[in-house]
Amino acid sequence: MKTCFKCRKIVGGYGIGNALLTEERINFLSMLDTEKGLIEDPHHQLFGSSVKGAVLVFPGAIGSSVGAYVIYSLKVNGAAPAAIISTNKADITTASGCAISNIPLVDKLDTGSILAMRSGMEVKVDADSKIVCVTNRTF
Amino acid sequence: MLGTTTSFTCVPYEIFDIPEKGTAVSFAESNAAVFSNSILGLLTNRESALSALASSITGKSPYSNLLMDKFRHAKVTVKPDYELATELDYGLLGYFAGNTVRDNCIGINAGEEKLDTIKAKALSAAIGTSGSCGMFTKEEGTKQEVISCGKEEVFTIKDELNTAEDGDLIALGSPQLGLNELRLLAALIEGKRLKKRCIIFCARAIHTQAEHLGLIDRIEHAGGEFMCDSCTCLTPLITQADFDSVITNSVKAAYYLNHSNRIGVCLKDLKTIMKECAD
Repeated sequence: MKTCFKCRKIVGGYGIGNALLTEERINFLSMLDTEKGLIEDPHHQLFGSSVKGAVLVFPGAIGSSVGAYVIYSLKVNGAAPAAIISTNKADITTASGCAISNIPLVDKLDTGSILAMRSGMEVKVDADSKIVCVTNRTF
Repeated sequence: MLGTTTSFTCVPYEIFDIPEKGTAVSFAESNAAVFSNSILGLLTNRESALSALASSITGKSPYSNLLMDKFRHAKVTVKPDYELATELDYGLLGYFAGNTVRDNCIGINAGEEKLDTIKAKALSAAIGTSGSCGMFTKEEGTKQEVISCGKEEVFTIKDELNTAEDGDLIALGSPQLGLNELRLLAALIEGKRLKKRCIIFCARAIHTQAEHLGLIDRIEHAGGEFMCDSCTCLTPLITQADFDSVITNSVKAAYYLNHSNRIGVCLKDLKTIMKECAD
């Protein structure tokens, strides 16, 4: 079953990957291993998961503004997310990190869209067309 | 005209002439953004290093969030229900506030009419560390929600950040120390000798001024070492290979040393550190 939602484009581009969802914000500088994209903070909901190739769905960045460079490091190391969906209004750290790394970033999805997503579902982010499509392969 | 000054500092507000209240600036460093909005009345979002760099080239910054007056008022006020004494108390309160409130601006009602710079820096840096909020105010209107911050909450945070009982090294300066902090430090270790290695992070401009004032001599005489143009949290000098644990009074340093550098941290206020580590 495929469901599509409208969104707002922050950084253009197209990305496809499995959803990696969290309601918890991310401090990129302190929580991410930039070699493998692993979330290394044992207190975080996504501890042990990798953002590599995923569509990261999260509320936004917290903490150090160096986080933008961390996103760029992930990209250079081939460990970046395929796209990022911000469930809150996109923050500057994430937006500028994605902008220099060419990682599609969108926010302001239709109400209900986040509720329809589960980690592991395939998500297509077409930032240029302002569309996010979710495929639930279990149906 | 464009230009650069290589200040290598996270405390530009202690080094440069501060523009008038209400002037828009573009600060990336989170403690500087929070401090400037809250204490100096400047207008800045919590820019990233990259967006601030873009501002430096274009002379512009996106007109959003904290650049607009409507976002500069707190909807939620955090009120500690205990007495705050040290800069560490303010750091822990800031960590709680930043972690709890997700708005652009947080109300902090800590009872004090005017925060001194040392406490304001600790509060700003900790708010910057745990969340995305870029400003605190004292205002407490009738419409605001008040969140109480109890001793238990603060104890839990301290317990999480305080991961070592002691340390091999004292690291001070996250944010980098200003002149008033160097004055306090010099007074605290006057006539004493540090029993542990102590690295003090400060901006070169501050170091130069402190040298003229004789503060550097006094602190070095007691065994303190200075590291200019660097950062406690990002320096390659404090690594697991050399140190098991570090003593600091900074909540921000504690968070990043624990999480990024994976070094144990013993968190104490400056007076206690100097009382225990110098004789």
